[in-house]
Amino acid sequence: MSTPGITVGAREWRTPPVAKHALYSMLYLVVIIGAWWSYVHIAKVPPFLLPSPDAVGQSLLTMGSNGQLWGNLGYTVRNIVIGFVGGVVIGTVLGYLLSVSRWAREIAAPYVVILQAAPKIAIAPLLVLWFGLGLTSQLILILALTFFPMMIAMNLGLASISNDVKTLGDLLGMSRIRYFLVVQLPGSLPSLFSGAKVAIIDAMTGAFLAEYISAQSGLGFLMVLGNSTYNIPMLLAAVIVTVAVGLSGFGLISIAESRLLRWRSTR
Amino acid sequence: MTDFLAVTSVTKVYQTAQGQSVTALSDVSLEIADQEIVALIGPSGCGKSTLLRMIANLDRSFTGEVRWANPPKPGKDIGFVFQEPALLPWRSVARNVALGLEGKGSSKSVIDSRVSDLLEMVGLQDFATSYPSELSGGMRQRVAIVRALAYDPQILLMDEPFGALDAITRDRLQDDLLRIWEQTHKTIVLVTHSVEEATYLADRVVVLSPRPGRVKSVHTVPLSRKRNAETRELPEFARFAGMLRSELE
Repeated sequence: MSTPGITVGAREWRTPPVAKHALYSMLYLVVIIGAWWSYVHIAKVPPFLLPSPDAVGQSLLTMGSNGQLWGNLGYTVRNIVIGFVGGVVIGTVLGYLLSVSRWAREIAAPYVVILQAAPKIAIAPLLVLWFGLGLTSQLILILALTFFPMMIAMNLGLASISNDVKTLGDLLGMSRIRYFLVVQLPGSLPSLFSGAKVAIIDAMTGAFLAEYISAQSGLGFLMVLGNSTYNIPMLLAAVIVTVAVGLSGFGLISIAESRLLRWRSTR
Repeated sequence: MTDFLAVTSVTKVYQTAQGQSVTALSDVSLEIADQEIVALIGPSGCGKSTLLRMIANLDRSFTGEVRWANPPKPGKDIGFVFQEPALLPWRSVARNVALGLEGKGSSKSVIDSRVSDLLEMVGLQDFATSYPSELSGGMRQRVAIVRALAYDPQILLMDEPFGALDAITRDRLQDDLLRIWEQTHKTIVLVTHSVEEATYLADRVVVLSPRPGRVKSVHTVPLSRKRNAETRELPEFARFAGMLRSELE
């Protein structure tokens, strides 16, 4: 463990790493927006192909002030959260069952893989047909996308526990529940986090895909609306918010990972 | 004579994936006294580790008998040290040592004081809050040894415990083990490939023959219990180790 006093003493004269990171990110943003702005103005790109950054910013502000943005953002974020959490729980439980029970493995494994090999876009219209245009079909699509990486991650995590540690669990007379809580779950966390990083992106893909096909609200719906009404600034604003949502989801998982897996960073 | 532990006519036959039956151990009998250090040596695949797993009650499919003066209580009486430390990397050193004490009704303060005594015994008291990844290989194996001793088991079983370490660390850990024995007088059964290690540590050495494993011979080490670096220089030491080596050929 590092002693905070020593770390502070040695780095006093430097910029704190977090501030440095934020500074670099800002610089990137300025450069990209600057390049975009220059390209639009110098090459005289027509606004229906690529509006300039200030038009997109204006659209973002308008949607923010008239509430159009918040309602749709909230709708999408809620669906992502429900779908992601549900997918994590289902995937982890399935992964555990498939690992510990040969019986479950032999019955379920082929179907699971076939289901996963099928492109989800192909299933999406079926889901709409079966479950209607509402929330149900959207959530099922998100769940179908997110559970798989978590299931694989749980499988890999459990397989990573060494035979000696399993023997130790036997010797210490650990019950199945205690062994799961003390050994298997913490031992699988690194790979569960890798799985969660894939799953959160899949959850977002699922949410937007669902909104493209069927929804009456959400960020995906905003994109469709912007596109079909030739409101290109609105389309781009929705894309930018979408990217921001994606980065936040990924960032939150990375923060949780570095908190919970502190033992890995002290190497 | 009531032995601390008696292994009588143990035979182990297992089926390979190809359906052939292989005899790993054949009619092995062995008595172990309380507070004794016994080394099992033999060529690779002679069933030394299998025998250790039978004593630990991890392997129950064999014929013959493993009889204890006091049958071990599950989860409390067998200390086991593997070739790899097998520590839980997400637990601090202290929490790794505490693993076998948790969930057995001891209070936290009792566990804490037991753990700090154990860490002091192997000179790791300053590393209680470190993670295993911050330790050297030798230190990790010391943690594994005191983890096995934490719940005061009847017997300490060691499966090539120093096999993965370099020569210098290995010598140091052998001295640590002897010091631990001085303090605890635990019965130790140790599987090893090294005749020097067997000679240096053990009271008696059991030589097993190649597969199927049988007890080829049992030798009492002709050295006093007090052993240190000079012991390795003694002519008896070299003679005994040489004799063991010729037994293995």
